[in-house]
Amino acid sequence: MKSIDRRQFLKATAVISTVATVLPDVSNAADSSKAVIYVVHGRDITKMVAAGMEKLGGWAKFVKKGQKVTLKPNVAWISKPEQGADTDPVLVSECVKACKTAGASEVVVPEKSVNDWKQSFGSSGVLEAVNRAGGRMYALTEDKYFRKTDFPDAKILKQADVAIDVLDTGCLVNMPIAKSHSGTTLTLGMKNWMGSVKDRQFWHRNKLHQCIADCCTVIKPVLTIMDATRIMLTKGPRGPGEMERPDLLIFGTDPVAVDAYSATLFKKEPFSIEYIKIAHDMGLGCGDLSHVDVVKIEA
Amino acid sequence: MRLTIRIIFLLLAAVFALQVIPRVVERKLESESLRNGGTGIISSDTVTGRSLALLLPALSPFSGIASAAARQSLGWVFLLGLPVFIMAILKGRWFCFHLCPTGFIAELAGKLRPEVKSRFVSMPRFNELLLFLALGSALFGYPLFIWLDPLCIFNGFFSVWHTPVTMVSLLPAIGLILIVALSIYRPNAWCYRICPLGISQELLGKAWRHIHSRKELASTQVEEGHKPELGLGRRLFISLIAGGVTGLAARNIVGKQYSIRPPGAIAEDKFTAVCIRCGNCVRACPKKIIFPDTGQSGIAGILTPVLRFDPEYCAEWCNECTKVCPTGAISRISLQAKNNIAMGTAVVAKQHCLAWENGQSCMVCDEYCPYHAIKVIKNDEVLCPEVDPEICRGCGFCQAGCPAETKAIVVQGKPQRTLPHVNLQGT
Repeated sequence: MKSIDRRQFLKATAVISTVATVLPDVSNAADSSKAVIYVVHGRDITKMVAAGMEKLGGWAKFVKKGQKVTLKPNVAWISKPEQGADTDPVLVSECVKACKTAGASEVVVPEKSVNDWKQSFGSSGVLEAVNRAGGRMYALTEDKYFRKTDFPDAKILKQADVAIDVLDTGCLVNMPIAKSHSGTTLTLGMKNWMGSVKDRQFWHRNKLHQCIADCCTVIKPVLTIMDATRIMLTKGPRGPGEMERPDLLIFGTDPVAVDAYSATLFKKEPFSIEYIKIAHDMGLGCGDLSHVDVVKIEA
Repeated sequence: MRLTIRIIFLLLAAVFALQVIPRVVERKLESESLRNGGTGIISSDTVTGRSLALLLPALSPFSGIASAAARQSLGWVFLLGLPVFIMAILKGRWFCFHLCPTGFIAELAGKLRPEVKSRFVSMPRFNELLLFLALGSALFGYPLFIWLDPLCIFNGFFSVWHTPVTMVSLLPAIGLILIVALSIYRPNAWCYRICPLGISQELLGKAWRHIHSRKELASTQVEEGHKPELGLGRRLFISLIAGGVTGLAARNIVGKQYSIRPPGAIAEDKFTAVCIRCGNCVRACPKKIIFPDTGQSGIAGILTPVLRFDPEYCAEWCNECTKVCPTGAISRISLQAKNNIAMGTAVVAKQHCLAWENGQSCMVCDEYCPYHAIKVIKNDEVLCPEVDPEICRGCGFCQAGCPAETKAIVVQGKPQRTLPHVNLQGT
C-alpha cells in the first residue's frame, strides 16, 4: 500500500483544518437537522433587517412572486413604541417594504388587539407605518375573518377559529416582541399567535402552555423576526414596566429556537418557560440551545 | 309659522338627542385623515362637539334649578336654562307653545280625538304639587320628580336605539309613550296638569304680573276656577315642607345602596334624584357599558345609568360620559381626573378562579389591568391574583377579560373616591 508522504500529510491537514475553522457555518448549514438563528445587534433597524435577511438568503427565498404575504406583529396594547408592548413600527414597515420589493402581490397585517384596536393601532404607530409602506393592516373584529380549523396533532386545542389570512397565505412571518408576561412569565413568538385566533379565553381555561404549543402544530411561519430592540422586564405584557435595550433582532426559521434564545435575554432557562419545553418535546422545533447555531451579526 | 318652528325644533331636538353632530364630525375627520394618508383614527381628545348632547335637557330651568339646589353648586350648564326662564317671566308658557318637543307630540296625540274637548280640567293640578315637592326636596339634596321634566323624557326616549331592542331596552321610551297615551285619553292633561316645567313657566309669568298688579293675578285665579281660600302661598308652603321631609327620608333610604355609576357621579344619596334619566351618558359611551337601570338599584334608581362590564370595560382613554350630563349628576372632569376615580373595586371569587381553584396559569386580570392593581400571590407554585383596593379603579377590564366559566373577578359598587395617580404611558 502506498503511504502518504510528509508533504501530502501537511497539505491535507492544512486543508481540513482550514475548512473546519474558517467555514463552520457552511458545515453546520449543511447539517439540515440543526436549527440556525441569526442574532443581529445594532441601532438602525433598517440595516439590521437587511443584514439578517441577507444571511437567511434574502426575502426572495421566502416571498413568492405574486403571492400574498401575512405579517403578524404584536399590536395588542395601547402603548407607545418606547414602552415596548407592541412591535416596533419601523421594523414592521421595513418588512412590508421588503416583501413588496420581493414581489408580494399584497402584504396584510391582521391583528386581534386586547385593548381597543383603534387606540392600539394608533398609539403604537404600526398602522401608520404599514399604510405608508403599502401594506394593509386590519383588526380581526368580525367572525368573517376566521375559519374553523382542526389541529389533528394537538393535545388540547383540537379545534380553533384561526384568521383566514394566517392560514391561506404565500408567506407567513411572525414578528413578535419579547417581553415579560404575568401569565406565562415571558411572551415570545409562539404566544403571539393568540392574536390570530378568535377565542383566546379557551386557552386560559385549558392549560395555556399546552394550547400555545398546540397552536404551533398548524400555524407554521416560514420565518420569525423577534423584536428585542427594547425588552420589558417587568409589568408585562402591557407595562409600563422596567425596560432594557439589548438592541437585537432575532431571525430564524425555527420558531422554538427563536423563543429559546429570546428567553435567555431575560436570564431565563429556555425550558423554564413551559410552552418552549412542550413545543420542543412535541417536535415543533429545537428549544435546546446547545443544538442551535446562534450566529451573531453586527449591523 | 308656529307649526314650522315647532317641527324644526322637534327635529333639531332629535338630532341633538341622538348625538348626530359629533358622529358626523368624527366621520368627517376620519375620512379627512384617510385622504391625507393618515390612519383614519382620531384621538379621543379631539373636539367633536360631544357636549352638544346636554344642550336640549339643559334648556329646562326647572331641572336646572332643582339640580343646582340639590348639588349646592352652579356650573355654566345651569346658565343654559336662563333664556327659557326669562321668556317665562315675560311671556309665561311661551316655550310650551313654540318650542317644547314633548308638548308638540302631546298636542298632536290629543288631536287624534277631536271630539274630546279639554277634559283635563276635571283633573287636580298635580303639576303645582310636583313642582313644589321638587323644589322643597331639592333644598335637602334629593329633588323629587325632576325626571318628569319633558325635555329629559324626550331626550331619554332615544336610548331605545342604543342597545339591541328587547322589552327591557324599551323602558327608556316609556315616558314619552305614556304621555302620548295620556294625551289621547285626555288631551292637554300632560301640559296643563302634570308637566312641572309647564307650571313653573306659568307661575313665573304670573308672579311677574303679580308684582305689577295684584288685581290681575286675582282675576286669573278666579278665571281658572281656584278655591280662593287656599292661596298659592299656602299651597307652596305646605308642599315645600312635605317635599323637604320626603326628600330627606328618600335620601336616607336610597343612599345606603351602591351601584356602579359612571365616573364622576355625585354621591349615591343624591344621584338617583339629580339624575334626570336623559340617557345622554348611556348614548355617549363608545364602549356601550352604560345601561339604563331596570330596577337592580331599587325603584328610586330605575333608568339611572349603571355600568356593566361584560364584554367591555371603562376605557382608560375615554371620559365621554362626563361631558354630556345636563344636571351635574356626573361631574365634568378631565381624562386624568376620571382615570383616578374608583367607580368600585374588583373582588376575586377564589372558588371560580382558574388559578386559585384549578391551578391553571392564567392571570389575565393582571395582564389586562391598565393600573396594575392586581397583586400576584404564589399558591402551590401557581401565580394567583389578589386585588389591591388602593389602586383598583373598578374599570372592569379584569371582569370583561376573565376567562373562567363563572366570572372570578367582579367589580362591586362602592362610594366613588379619588385614588393616587397611576402613570399609564410610562416615561
